[in-house]
Amino acid sequence: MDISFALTGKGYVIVAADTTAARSIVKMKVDEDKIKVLSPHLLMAYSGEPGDTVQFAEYIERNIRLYHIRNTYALRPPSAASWIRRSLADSLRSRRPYAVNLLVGGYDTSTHTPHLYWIDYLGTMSEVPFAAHGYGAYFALSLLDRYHDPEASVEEGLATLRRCLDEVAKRLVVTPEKYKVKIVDKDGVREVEI
Amino acid sequence: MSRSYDRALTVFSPDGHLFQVEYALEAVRKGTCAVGVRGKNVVVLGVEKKSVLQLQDPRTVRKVAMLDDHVCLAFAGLTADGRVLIDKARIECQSHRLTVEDPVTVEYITRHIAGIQQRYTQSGGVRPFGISTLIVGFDPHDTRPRLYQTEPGGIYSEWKANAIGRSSKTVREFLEKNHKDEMSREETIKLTVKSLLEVVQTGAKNIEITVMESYGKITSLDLAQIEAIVAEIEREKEAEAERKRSRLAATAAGQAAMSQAAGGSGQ
Amino acid sequence: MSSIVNNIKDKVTGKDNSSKQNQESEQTFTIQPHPAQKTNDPRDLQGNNFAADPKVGAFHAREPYIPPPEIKNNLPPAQCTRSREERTRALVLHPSTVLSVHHFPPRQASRYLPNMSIMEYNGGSVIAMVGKECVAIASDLRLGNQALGISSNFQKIFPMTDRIYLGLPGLATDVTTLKETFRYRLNMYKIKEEREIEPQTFAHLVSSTLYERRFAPWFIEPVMAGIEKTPSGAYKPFIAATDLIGCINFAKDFVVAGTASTKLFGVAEGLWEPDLEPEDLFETCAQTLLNAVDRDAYSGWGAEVYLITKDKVIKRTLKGRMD
Repeated sequence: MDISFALTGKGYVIVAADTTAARSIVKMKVDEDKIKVLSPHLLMAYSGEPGDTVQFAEYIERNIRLYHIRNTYALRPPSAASWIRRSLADSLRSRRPYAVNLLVGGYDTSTHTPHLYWIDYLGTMSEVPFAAHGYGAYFALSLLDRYHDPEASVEEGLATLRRCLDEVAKRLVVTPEKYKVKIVDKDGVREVEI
Repeated sequence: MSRSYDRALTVFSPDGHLFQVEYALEAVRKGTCAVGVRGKNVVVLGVEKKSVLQLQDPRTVRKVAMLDDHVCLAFAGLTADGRVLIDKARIECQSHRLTVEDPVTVEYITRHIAGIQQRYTQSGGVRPFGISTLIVGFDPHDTRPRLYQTEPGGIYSEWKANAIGRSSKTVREFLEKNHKDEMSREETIKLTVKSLLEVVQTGAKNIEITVMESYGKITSLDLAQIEAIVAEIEREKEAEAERKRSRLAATAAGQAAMSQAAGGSGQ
Repeated sequence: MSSIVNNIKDKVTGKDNSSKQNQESEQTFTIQPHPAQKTNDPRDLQGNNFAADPKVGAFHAREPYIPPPEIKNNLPPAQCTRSREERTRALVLHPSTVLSVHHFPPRQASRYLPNMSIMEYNGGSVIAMVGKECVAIASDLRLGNQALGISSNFQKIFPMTDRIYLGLPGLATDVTTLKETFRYRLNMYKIKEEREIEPQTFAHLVSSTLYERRFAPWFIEPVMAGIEKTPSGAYKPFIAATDLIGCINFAKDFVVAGTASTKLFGVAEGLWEPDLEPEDLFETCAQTLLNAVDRDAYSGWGAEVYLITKDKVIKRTLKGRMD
């Protein structure tokens, strides 16, 4: 039931995820933050099997942080995404795999480029200009096909995201009421209200 | 016969010594000096840097390591052993956050490090870590600075100010004489540099200073800043010496005058 | 008619009721000729149709026609490039072609899931072809989640050495994992042997890597293409493919794999011919892939072709239908 979106623009990545934590048909919480800040320029939105998600996300968070402390610099987005993917792929063929879908967005401070990776629980990874997980994907992807612009400013990017959220609100039976939106660019990570 | 007691690490000598652990302490005494000083709201680590060779990159020779956002460690002894111990400590810091959500306290990570060092004095096929460490930091949700020391045998203890490594005894005695409670940031840094200068002859370029002011706020002083402090200390010493000299001269002059007066009266 | 007669007959002969019942339920038929015909013999069919001709009728099937040696040995050589190009052009769908829309009744989800195949979960296809002192390997660029398209830029072909390329269609997570595994194993090979791997050896490396997981396989059917150097110094094209547990198929013409493999077989069978020059091989390979994946819902969304010759490799990215 989790819904998450992400899109790249000129020098930034926007990552958005709904904030509901549900169990069966009951909303247990409406202000859950499902986007982790892994390093100064790296974001990860996670969704999937409750329990697995937080467990896996925290495992990733702590290891990325450990890498940062050990080496004094953080992993760049492509390397971090690659490592996260491998963790999921290895987990898939273990005794009890994690069922977690991810959107990893980051800004590479050495090449000055935004990166966005779509990763699913099987360990499938693809670098994409925009991505979505959950039921939102069925509505948003075609919209983003039409409106996404890799050269868009942050304001235009947020407007495009707004379209996706509105479409989901209009057409999806069980629509989340609130989203958390985070942006990563050359200045690091910040949260915005939408 | 007594030679055989230092072959196997886990064997006591008849008078209750573990020779290997004592040799490890010897390795620490041969290592470069490290000083830790606690102030009111600040804790400072100072280390003596070995002279870097002309073609060496000084950034790759570091003796102060960050364990987590709020904990720093300096060591004296075998650098390679230090690296291994630091890595184990860093993993524990992240693992602690992962399992219980909270960051480690300074005492917890000190106890963990001391625990590792102790383990290497009690099992077969290993040798003790040839390092002592100074661990500084702030506990989460606390403003009080912390300073701990660990030793190769696994002993750990908390201090107001302490030194490890080469000539640590001299430095510790200096600190005992000059340490005051409730020192400000500048005073603490100055005392650290001053105490290091007791054993570092070459001055600012062989000193590294790390200052921690609150949870997660760590700064390393650059060479210019340290040079300024060293220059200030030199000036003070100079002034002190000058005062002493003039006092001495005054006394001498006084004595001369007195003896002259006495001589004159005698004439 | 006959039942009435029988009834009268029964009454006369005094037969019992049960046998009468039997008699009544049993129907009898006579073979009557079709109203339009006089008899039932196919040879008597009216009109001058083929069946009426005893020489060609189905009742007189003959052996297949085998041309005599003088005809067989004097056949003209394979058709020239131009006419083949014309043939391939004719195969491309014209934009104005009207596609008929079929409506299927909605399927129940519970019925749908067991039908899901892991090999078709992400979609994607690869083909490799042999030419004259050259080989080509091509793949589509789609990454999907069943019917939902995720990316139109998902590479499935990876360079292994300067002149060996490996295509990995199948489950996308294993595409990436295997790509990384082969990169590792080839680096180790290069360091230990101080030379590049030969295509033949590489095929066996692929095979053993897959067979290692015989009972929990990687869901990948690799296709590889390369150029090998013969002991005499000549260059020989090389292609091979394996199944998901590493059974090697060394082919002399072309190999295919992926969700569009059946369609690729069909088109390749029609377009491929021996000893194509590099540019002709590129055209054949590209057209085969593009037209085959247009008939496959899980493949497509653009394509890329690697043309490997003895002195260079050309990579071309092709646009494809985006539906």
